[in-house]
Amino acid sequence: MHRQLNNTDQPASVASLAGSTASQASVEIKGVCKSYGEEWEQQDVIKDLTLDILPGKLTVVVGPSGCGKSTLVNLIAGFERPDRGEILLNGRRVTGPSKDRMVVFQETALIPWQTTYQNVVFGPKLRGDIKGKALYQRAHELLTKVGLQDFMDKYPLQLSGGMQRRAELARALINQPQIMIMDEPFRGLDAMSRGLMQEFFLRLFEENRHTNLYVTSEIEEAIFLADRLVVLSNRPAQLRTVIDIDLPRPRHYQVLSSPEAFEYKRAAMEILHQEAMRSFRPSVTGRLPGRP
Amino acid sequence: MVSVSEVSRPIGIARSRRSFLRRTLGRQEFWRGCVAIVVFLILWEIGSRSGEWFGYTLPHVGLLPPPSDVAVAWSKVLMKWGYWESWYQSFKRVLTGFIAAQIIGIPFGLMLAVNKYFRDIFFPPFEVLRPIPPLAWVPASLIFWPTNEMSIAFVTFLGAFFTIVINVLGGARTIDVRYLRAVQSMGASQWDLGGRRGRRDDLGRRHAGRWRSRLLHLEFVYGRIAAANRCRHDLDRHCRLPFKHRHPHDRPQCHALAQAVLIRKTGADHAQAAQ
Ligand SMILES: Nc1ncnc2c1ncn2[C@@H]1O[C@H](COP(=O)(O)OP(=O)(O)OP(=O)(O)O)[C@@H](O)[C@H]1O
Ligand SMILES: [Mg+2]
Repeated sequence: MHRQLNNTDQPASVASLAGSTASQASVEIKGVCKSYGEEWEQQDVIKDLTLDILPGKLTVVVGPSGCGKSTLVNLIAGFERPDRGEILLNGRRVTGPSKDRMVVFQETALIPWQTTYQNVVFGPKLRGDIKGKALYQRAHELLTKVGLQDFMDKYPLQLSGGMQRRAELARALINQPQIMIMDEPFRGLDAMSRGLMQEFFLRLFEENRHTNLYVTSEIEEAIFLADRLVVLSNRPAQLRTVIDIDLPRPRHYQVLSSPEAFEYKRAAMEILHQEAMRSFRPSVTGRLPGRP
Repeated sequence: MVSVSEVSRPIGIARSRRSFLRRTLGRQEFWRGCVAIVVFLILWEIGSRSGEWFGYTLPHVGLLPPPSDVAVAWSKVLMKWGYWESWYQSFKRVLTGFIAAQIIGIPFGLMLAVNKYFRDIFFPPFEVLRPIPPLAWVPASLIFWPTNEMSIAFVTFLGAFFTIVINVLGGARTIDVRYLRAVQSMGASQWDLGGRRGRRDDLGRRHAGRWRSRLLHLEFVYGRIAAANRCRHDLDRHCRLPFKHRHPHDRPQCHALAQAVLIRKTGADHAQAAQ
């Protein structure tokens, strides 16, 4: 694992591999509402959310579990449409999925019957935009970057959880997305590999500074990674606050024990705690959870 | 560094062929199976010869000819032409029925999976006919097929057809939405370039894109099938792919095809909605 982390010190940077021109994308979320269910029992999941995702920044969204974070990801990725409001990528309205917005999913979404290599080259091959030797080289370099060069012919189920996540990162990066969206990508990993993966991911980000939206429900992870920390309310998800995290980069795990980090954590925790309490109260008083 | 061709070659086909026999012989399951068959034959022999050997004929088993007699009779039959002719005829019937069932059943199952209207119309009658056992079709098939051969093939066809359709449908239905979404993001919508709607690109790129995605599509299907077939031998033991056989009749090939096609189809729908 450590050896793989050290790969980031190699001169071939992912910024050059993944095309640094594509990185300065911004996303505007304007008054977005989304609800599920039939009309008579509609359940608001996102309510009037307005948020800017700034170019070249790592925006981290935290919120209580079930507040609608994955729904927000689906909306930005274009898998689902907002009921009201709109989402703009570089000023252009998002209408469906596209390689501009790659998602690393909460659970692994590597195609199980394809090898790591085949998974990584799937997108470019499908679109035919990179071919032959060039494609192989790019895939190989990216896989080396994420430390999987020896696992190219393995199937996803033959990889460990952390390796799967890294393969998925490589698969997303090869498509040169304008924004990377990560939906709790390291959930389900053990604490050790999660820490390593976070640091690894942070190196990647600091190297190429692609616009990145990172969703998590863990406050420490959020502060460790974020340029901007977006705190969502309990369902229906609304913007509670945005905290600019002004910790030095490149960051290392020790930064979390600094007084500044502690202060950020305290501030965010306070809000999240209020939200968590709010989600419990209605069920105590006998009303439906999530209803005001 | 490994070359491109080395990587894209289907993994270890030659290697797995060479060592297949050795791996089989080294497997405990194999020997357990052999022992089970031998024990079965011995018990049968003892049962059949019980009257001869112990003076007491066991019920049922005692009436059967012992396997050693069967083997002797078989060795005589082996010399006769008619025996092999029967083999040939049976094979022909079964294969005709089975291949016909695939040719009709797989597209039919895919259509059921992919198109709601098609499903609404054809699924109910299909479900009405499905529980009828193939043997019950024999009288009917004798009536509406001109030759005996054809009615036999038809009954075989029915035996395979319903299973195939249900498997294709089941395979298509069990695709996880995550895979669909992942391949949509990567541009799976190119599948549906021709046909119902125009595209922004010029015509040339359209056709190039279509062929490209068709080829890729085939590869996708092939890869899925290969993986399904390979999963029991080649992959590590603890690595069980999710589409292993769930039922003796369960056919990974059908699942494979269904999933691959549906993944394309959903991508296409999405792109269309986005227009
Ligand atoms: N397709 C759907 N149909 C109906 N309800 C849905 C659907 N998707 C999500 N929901 C509801 O929306 C709410 C938010 O779900 P979402 O998955 O976005 O939460 P989340 O914040 O990502 O939670 P977690 O942290 O557990 O991943 C949940 O209450 C869920 O029941
Ligand atoms: Mg989620």
